[in-house]
Amino acid sequence: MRENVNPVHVHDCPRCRYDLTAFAQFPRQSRRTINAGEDTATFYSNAIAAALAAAATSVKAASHVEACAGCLNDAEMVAVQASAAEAVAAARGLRKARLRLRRAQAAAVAAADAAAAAAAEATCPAKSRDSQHASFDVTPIPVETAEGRAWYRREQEALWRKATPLRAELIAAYSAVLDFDQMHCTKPSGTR
Amino acid sequence: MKLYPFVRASVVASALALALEARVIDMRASPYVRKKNI
Repeated sequence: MRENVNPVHVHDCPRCRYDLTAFAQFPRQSRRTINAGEDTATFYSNAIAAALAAAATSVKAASHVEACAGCLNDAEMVAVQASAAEAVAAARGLRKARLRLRRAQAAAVAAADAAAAAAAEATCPAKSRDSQHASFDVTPIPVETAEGRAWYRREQEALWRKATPLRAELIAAYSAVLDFDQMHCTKPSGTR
Repeated sequence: MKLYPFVRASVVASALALALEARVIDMRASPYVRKKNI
């Protein structure tokens, strides 16, 4: 049995030297904290990338064990076993990071929806009973005159321009619900 | 309103605000009598 401290430099098997070099550079997993200026999604994306890199290196170490198990000394075997343990920890960390990323994304979507709803509520003319009369424009449109009819037409056109994107969004929502109903809801025979 | 669980709350709010605006325009263009102290 050979004595060595650093398996990378003493191990002389040419077949696995490359794998051992990569193995020595195994990215050690450590508990990361969110840095200043780093948002949650970026943090978990980086955590997933680090866990994937660790897992890939561990796969290399595992293939090395399979190919060169006969020529490993004790120190190398201990290091490989430690690598396998880190691979398990990395996979566990990967699952946790993915779960947290999904939760962070769901929270971000909910926050964006709440902000949009708050903005819509802030611009809604019927925000409160006291502000109703102040925000309503009650100037009469004299539709009995040509000028009034042109004015009314302009108001209607402005309303139509505002309504167009909202109408498209509502149609898309209706279509999605109808498609879902058609694909997933069975109806009794003889009914339409 | 029936689609509310399937559409964003902001869309529902925008639809209601738009309906209110349309109603106001219709009221302004309706036949009216401008008299004081009715």
